[in-house]
Amino acid sequence: MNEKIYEGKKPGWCPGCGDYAVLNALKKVFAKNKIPPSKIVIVSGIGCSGKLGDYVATNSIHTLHGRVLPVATAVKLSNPELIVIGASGDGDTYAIGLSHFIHSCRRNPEIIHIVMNNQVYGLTKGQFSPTSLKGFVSTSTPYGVFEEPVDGVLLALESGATFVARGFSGDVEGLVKIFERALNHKGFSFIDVLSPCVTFNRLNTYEWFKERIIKMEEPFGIRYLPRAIRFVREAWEEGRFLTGIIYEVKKPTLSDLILKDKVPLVKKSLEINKQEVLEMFSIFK
Amino acid sequence: MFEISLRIGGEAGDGALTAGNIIAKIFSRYGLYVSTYKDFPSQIRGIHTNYTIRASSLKRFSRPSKIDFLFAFDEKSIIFHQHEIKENGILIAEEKILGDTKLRKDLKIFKIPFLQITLKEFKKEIYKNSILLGVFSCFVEIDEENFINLLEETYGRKGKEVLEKNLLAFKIGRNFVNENFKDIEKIKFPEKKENDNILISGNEICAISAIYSGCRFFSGYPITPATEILEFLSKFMPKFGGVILQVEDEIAAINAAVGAGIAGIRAMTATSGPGFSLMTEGISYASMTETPVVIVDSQRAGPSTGMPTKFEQSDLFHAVFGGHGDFPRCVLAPSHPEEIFEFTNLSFNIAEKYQIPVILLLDQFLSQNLFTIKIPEIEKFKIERGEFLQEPQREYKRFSFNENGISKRTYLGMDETIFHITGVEHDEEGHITTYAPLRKKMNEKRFLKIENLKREMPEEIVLGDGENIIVTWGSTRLAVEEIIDDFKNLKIVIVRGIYPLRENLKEILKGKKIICVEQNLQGQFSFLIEKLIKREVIKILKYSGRPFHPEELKEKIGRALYE
Repeated sequence: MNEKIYEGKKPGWCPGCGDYAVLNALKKVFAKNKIPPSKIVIVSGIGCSGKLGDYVATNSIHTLHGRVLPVATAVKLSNPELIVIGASGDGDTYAIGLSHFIHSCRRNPEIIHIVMNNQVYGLTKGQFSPTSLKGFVSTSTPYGVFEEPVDGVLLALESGATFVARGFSGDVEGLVKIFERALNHKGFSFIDVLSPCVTFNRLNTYEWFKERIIKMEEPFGIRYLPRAIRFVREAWEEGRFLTGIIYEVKKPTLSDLILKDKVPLVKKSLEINKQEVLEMFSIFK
Repeated sequence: MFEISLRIGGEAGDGALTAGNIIAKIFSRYGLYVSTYKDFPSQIRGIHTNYTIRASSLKRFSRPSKIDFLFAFDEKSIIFHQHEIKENGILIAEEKILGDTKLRKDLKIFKIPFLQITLKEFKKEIYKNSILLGVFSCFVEIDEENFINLLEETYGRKGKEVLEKNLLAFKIGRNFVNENFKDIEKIKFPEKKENDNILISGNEICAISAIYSGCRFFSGYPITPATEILEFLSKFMPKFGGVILQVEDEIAAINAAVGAGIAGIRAMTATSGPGFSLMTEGISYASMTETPVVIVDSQRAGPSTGMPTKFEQSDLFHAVFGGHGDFPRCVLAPSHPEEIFEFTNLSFNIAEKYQIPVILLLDQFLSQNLFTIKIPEIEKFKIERGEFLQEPQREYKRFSFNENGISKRTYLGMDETIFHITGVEHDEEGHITTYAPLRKKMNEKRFLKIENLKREMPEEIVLGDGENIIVTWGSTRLAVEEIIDDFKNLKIVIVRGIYPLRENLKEILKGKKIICVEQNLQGQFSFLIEKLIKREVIKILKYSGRPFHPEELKEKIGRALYE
């Protein structure tokens, strides 16, 4: 399939924005795997990353700030035939939507969750985010950020995510590999993408990341959780970022546990046997 | 007319609920109309609680003004409730608690050493409720068998030993009365009426109706007094292939329900005040994205955490006006347990036909109390899904303009068909726009639906045809309808479609005095009515957390009419 069929509106991101790489990698993966646009749903949040759904010619749901995961989870449960991709930013995921993130990792819905992490609030023009480094000067922290940054990858690992990866927008091929693997993973696939903001983050630039990235040696990640956590933690301590597929494990998915079968709910009749309703009432006789 | 009411008071943990439920069921099976009134604290143990059971040969479901029996396990029961016993009524009290409390002279008092008996027979304070049942059975002309059957039903599944001990406790209670009190005048009951009635709470009716009405996705977070909807659906939804999720908070609950709504599933969530507040942004999103979703708000006393287990009707402003921006919605409020099935069904139909969020306002009284009802005639209630795309469409416009504001929906995943949903202002295809003329048109399109919806809102119930009008809503109706025969020249109007109000209501509310009875401090419904009829109404309000009983209402209405 041609990538062009997935092309939506012309992106309004700044030239050089890391989010282009995510968009391009996604389109490549869709085309390579010949996924019909009608079977894809991009669920995005608020922020520059949230616009992604408008830039693809697939189904898209642009949700409220922080609410990508509850919506994406519900969509997947409603119709397991769909490929559901959550696209959100660092504010969306690690600030306003943090609890949904942790609980989605625990729940293991079959969705791919991509966080375009640029360590700054771009759409509101330059305030710090939960992933901004300590001391980062932003419009809301003129004297520097005083909080410790959040590492989404560590959070995901500790919270029970069954697929954890970190990508870098300077490496589209790397993103394609990760996304493709995520597409075949049965469960919650979490990908934190280091996606530089070229306008409001002059600290964490492409060059800055290139100096600090360590690529995973295992192409398909580590299978032993404590080891994965240790690797990520050690890199983090040294101020470096481990990229690639970090961890993958097989576990029953949310759909496996709560859906009777894979027939989409939307295709089932809503009418039920009246007798069954009467039986429910009969409990109260 | 036959009527009997009793109250069991004690500390939380004394078993008032179990004993009360057994008595309620005995009465209900007997052919009487039963309603209960739970006055429970938001605490599991060690605080005063009381449970009232009312049974009547007529369909009377309000909290009774006076009671025939009071069972007192603690002193507070006597202090708080003895004045509510009818003249020459019966007080059955734990012997130990009758210390310095002055007792009414007219009462027939029976002292029972519940505690002493339990310690002697069972070595600990346990099975008091079954002793109580044994005692009570001596005061009513109902076969002992009825009690025993229900004890067996209630405790049978808890194992042989538990059942036997409870049956023994029942016998002990019975024997104690027979041995110690002579010449008890048993209350005569009308003849037993074989029936198929059920004794059920509003929350359970709502949950069953949701399943019947095609709801296949429910996400929620436990909150009093709405939790039973989540619990019931957790048990039964999987049987019907539906999805039930207890999520991390009410924000997740509403957003997940909206997500399912977008996917094309009938979805619902249920909550109460605090959770409803958290859902506000999600409801505005549902409306902006023209997504059907049903939100049950079982109102409790607010504001903030308020009184979680207490009754109030104070979420009306929030239901009708809550949220940022202008957006259409529908607010329905059943006024009677018998209406909950129908209104839950209607909520889903309106939500899908008009592609809007529907807020179904219940309240603590309707939600958590038990009522005797006939099993609803379910065949009368249909699933009406509204406008759907029938076949794939490549250039599909999810928000296409037309004369009634309702664009065709489809489900996510229809072959060759894609659509875009966004909470940002958008064009017909769902693409983001801020273009002024388009924004104006879209905003108006969404509200166009309200004009059409007005014609489909449920009609008011009108009782009587007097010139003085009492208008009310929600379960306040139950007390109001009981006073209709006490006044002349009265018309009672019960409004069930809260928003949008029907235009026709203006005509119905033409009269001499217009009195609005509701249970909140600001007169929230009165505000809507005054705006509609363009005149002031007399407000009768209550906001103590306890619903009106007919006697107090009678006095207030009398004053409003004649002062």
